[in-house]
Amino acid sequence: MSSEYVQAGGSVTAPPPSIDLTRRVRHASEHLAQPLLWACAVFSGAVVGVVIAYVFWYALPIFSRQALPFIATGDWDTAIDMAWTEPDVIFGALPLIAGTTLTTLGALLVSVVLGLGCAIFLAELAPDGLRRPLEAVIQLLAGIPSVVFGLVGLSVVVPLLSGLVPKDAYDVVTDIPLEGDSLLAGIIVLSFMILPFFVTVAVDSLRAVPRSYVDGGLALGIDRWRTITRIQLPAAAPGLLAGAVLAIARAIGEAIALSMVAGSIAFVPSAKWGLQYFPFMPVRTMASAIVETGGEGMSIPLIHDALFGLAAMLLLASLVLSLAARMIVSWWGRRLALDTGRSL
Amino acid sequence: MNESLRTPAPEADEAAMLLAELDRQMIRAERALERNTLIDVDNLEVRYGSNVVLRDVTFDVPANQITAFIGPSGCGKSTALRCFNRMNDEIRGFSMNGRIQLGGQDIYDPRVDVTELRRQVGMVFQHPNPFPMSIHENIALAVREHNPRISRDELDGVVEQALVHANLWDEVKDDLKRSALALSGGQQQRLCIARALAVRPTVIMLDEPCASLDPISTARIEELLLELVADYTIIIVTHNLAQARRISDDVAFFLMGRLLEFGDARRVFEDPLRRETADYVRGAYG
Ligand SMILES: Nc1ncnc2c1ncn2[C@@H]1O[C@H](COP(=O)(O)OP(=O)(O)OP(=O)(O)O)[C@@H](O)[C@H]1O
Ligand SMILES: [Mg+2]
Repeated sequence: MSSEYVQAGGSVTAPPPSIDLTRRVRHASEHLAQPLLWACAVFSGAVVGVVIAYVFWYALPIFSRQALPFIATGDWDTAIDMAWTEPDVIFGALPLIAGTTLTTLGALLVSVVLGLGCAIFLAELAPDGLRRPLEAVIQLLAGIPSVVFGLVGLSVVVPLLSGLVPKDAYDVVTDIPLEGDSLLAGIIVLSFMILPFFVTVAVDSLRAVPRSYVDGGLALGIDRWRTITRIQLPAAAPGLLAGAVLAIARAIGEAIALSMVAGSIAFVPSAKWGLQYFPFMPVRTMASAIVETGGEGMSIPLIHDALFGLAAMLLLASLVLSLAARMIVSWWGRRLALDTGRSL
Repeated sequence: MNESLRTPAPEADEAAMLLAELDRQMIRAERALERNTLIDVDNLEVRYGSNVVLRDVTFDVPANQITAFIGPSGCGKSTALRCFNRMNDEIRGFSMNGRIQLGGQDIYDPRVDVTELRRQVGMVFQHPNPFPMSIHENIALAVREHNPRISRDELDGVVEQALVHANLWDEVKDDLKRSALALSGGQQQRLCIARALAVRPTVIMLDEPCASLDPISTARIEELLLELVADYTIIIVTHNLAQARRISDDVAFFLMGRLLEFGDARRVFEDPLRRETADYVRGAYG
């Protein structure tokens, strides 16, 4: 004690302590880490850029040769067959575009409705004992390879649906035979494939809604369910949207499972014979078409170009989707003044 | 054998206990009439899991008065508040004993509609929690929930009235479509009060409503409460003893889950019965 006192008293005249701010220890990893991380980022970015450029570059010929017919006419399967021998064939990707659009939108609808229910249950209502296993199952669903989905769909969904095809279909729908492997089968199988992507994101975004919003609603005498639908869901909307976009992105690229269960005929489904026949029409999606013709077909320049045309459209769709999602989310944020600059 | 010999005794005991209980209830009822009691808390005990958070809490909140809950952090003030609108029901592990009556009705009676109870007993939280919606919608949402057939004009009227009541109208009337999140903290808290007022409650409970506000916003809210007490019964939790002194009629002092002292605010602050209270309220002067 006393020596401290003396020191304290004496320090009035003592020179200020010298301070050295240069670092003594430098780990070798520090010199490497930064440039290495930069390199990783630049490399990944470059690869993505090159792939995009490559796809669009090889898609140019088909679009410059037959832009409108390519996306607006309906001859694909025969065109592919002819392209092996004929030098000048007009490809029509309309049925493929229709196939991708219909399966994607159908599956999106099913998985969003089903997924919202799941997500609300998981995030808000499920007791722990049920929540954990359910979440595990959903995670598992995300990891199942698509061939497996296709196989199960082929052995369960397709036979089930073939029993439901209207009996008079053979007489009424003259253009195409209706079977169990159909648009509906594709939608059902695809729904389960994209469900986990939507549910996982939806659960996270529901949980991310501040508890105080929910408490505020309950404390005003709004019942639990209405609090969820009127306050929590709108607050989680940007996240739900992001989940939906992720699900769509997954859906439009799906090939194998849909090739197996959706009929695999390039056909534009039509309701002109009656709505009851519509779900049982066969479809083929863009991604399926690429997989199914890809191998040998690539040696034929015409087919090569047509497939790159499809790839470019798929790529464009996913680019536009992710851009749109970003814009909507940020617009939403601005509208809600969630950029809480003022409260900081 | 043993039991049959003993049977008369427990019955007599029971009867005596019943009589005593009846007597106690009579006295409480009389007192309630005299004090114009709105909320009557009798022997409240609250647990979260096995953790007893409140015990032996008995007091009453008179209508059209401001009752302040004071006490150190963690003593159970918020827990007590959340019993009155049954927000504790949302907390896992919550259980309680005792009885809470609102206007003579047991609020934990299974026949009670919890949403109606929560409409009657409004709550404003420590941190302003407006919904991420427009100012208008923040108020309209709950009003519509309780009165789905309300017309647009009527609804606009209710929204305006609530904002006027909460002393916020003049600041926001030009743009009710603005996001509530863009308001200042004090404005947000008044919006939350407006929101609570709009569903026509009987009681308004405020849990440290000024905790995150500056002195001017705080003063505005105090003024507001003094205006509102003519029409509502107000319970406020506060760590600001000066505030409790300024605005409350009755004060309840909690310490470690017990209600140590309850009574007229001036009496509790100036002439506390217990040493612990005296020690704590010294802050009100310091
Ligand atoms: N949700 C909960 N689950 C379990 N225990 C809780 C919960 N909320 C509060 N408690 C416990 O109950 C006791 C009382 O808490 P309470 O929030 O009522 O105190 P308080 O008087 O409001 O304190 P403060 O002034 O800090 O807000 C504390 O010991 C706390 O740990
Ligand atoms: Mg508290």
